[in-house]
Amino acid sequence: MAETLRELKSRTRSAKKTQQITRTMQMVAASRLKKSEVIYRKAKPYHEKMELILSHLMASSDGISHPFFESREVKTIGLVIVTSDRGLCGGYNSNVIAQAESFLAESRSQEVQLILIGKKGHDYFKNREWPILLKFLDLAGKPDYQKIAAITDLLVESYLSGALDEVNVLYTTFVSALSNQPVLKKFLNLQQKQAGLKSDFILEPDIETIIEQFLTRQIASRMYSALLESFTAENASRMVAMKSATDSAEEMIARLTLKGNKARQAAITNEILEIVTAGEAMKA
Amino acid sequence: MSEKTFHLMVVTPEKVFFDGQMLSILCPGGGGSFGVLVNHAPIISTLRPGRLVLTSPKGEKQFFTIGPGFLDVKNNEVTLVTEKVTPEETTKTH
Repeated sequence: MAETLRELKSRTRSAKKTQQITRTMQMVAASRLKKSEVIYRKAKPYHEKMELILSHLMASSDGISHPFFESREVKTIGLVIVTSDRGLCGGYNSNVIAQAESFLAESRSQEVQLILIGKKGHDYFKNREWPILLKFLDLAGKPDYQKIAAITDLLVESYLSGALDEVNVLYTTFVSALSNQPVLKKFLNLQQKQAGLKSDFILEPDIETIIEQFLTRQIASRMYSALLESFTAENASRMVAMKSATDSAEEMIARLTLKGNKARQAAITNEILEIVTAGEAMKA
Repeated sequence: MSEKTFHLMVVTPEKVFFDGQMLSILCPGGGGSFGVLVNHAPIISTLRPGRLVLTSPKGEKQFFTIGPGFLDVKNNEVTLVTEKVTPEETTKTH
């Protein structure tokens, strides 16, 4: 016998306990997912309206002159990496980190500064060659608009001062509960869209003031939306990971129970055999 | 839908605060307070933190305190985006 009955029993017990834990975590993640999805959906109109106003602004002026629209020679790239604060969420963080690595490998000719959001990304990058410009480890899956606006303000500041020539954000999009995709988006230096339809908006007080105030908010809104989406994806990813952990625990329990039953049966058969043999011996 | 009203949407980063028909709004523009009625010319304006007055199609006035934001008007679609909206305690009817 490979394993004794007692060993098998204790392994089954521990698998059951693990399953209980993963099942609970799955349920917690599911309820968090629901919550964060609601927040994400509620926040979407703001983001859409900001995009709408931007398109109106673009349509009503011939070329906005603002540092955000300049094309600069790119020497320093800022890369914002959005990861989770906690683990046990499947491939969520490793997908983001893998994409970050491939981006970093491609941008060898430029200097890359990292801006890390989330503890897991920080754990990974803290001892590596790339300098960390900023890190934010206290969002803990609860994006707060004011906090995020403060982050984008810092980014905008370093862009305007010339410390960064380009800012990219690497975050995870939430397609559905089962499908998430890390994406890399250029955040600052917006593309000047050539508006086909010209419309005459009255601009109050004037285009410069509006642009000045609008663009930072617009970027904050993009960042907020990106983070909400990432957090939703994180919860979805955790839920799926915990579901598969629960399922494989189920499988393991079934296998161990079968083994345990066989072992018990074997022990009983053995005992009967011994008794029978002993009886036969006595008769003889 | 009455001809005298327009569609107003007030959105904050957290949620859609208001979505419906309005008779008029009075808002603290970056270049001074101004009102919007139906068929207002297209406008984009900055908003200072201050008081927002909404008049419903029934003529009821509602007062709100808003943070900095923007107002966009086009084809009777009025969009007000702001970081914060809080209703004021007193609601008067005229």
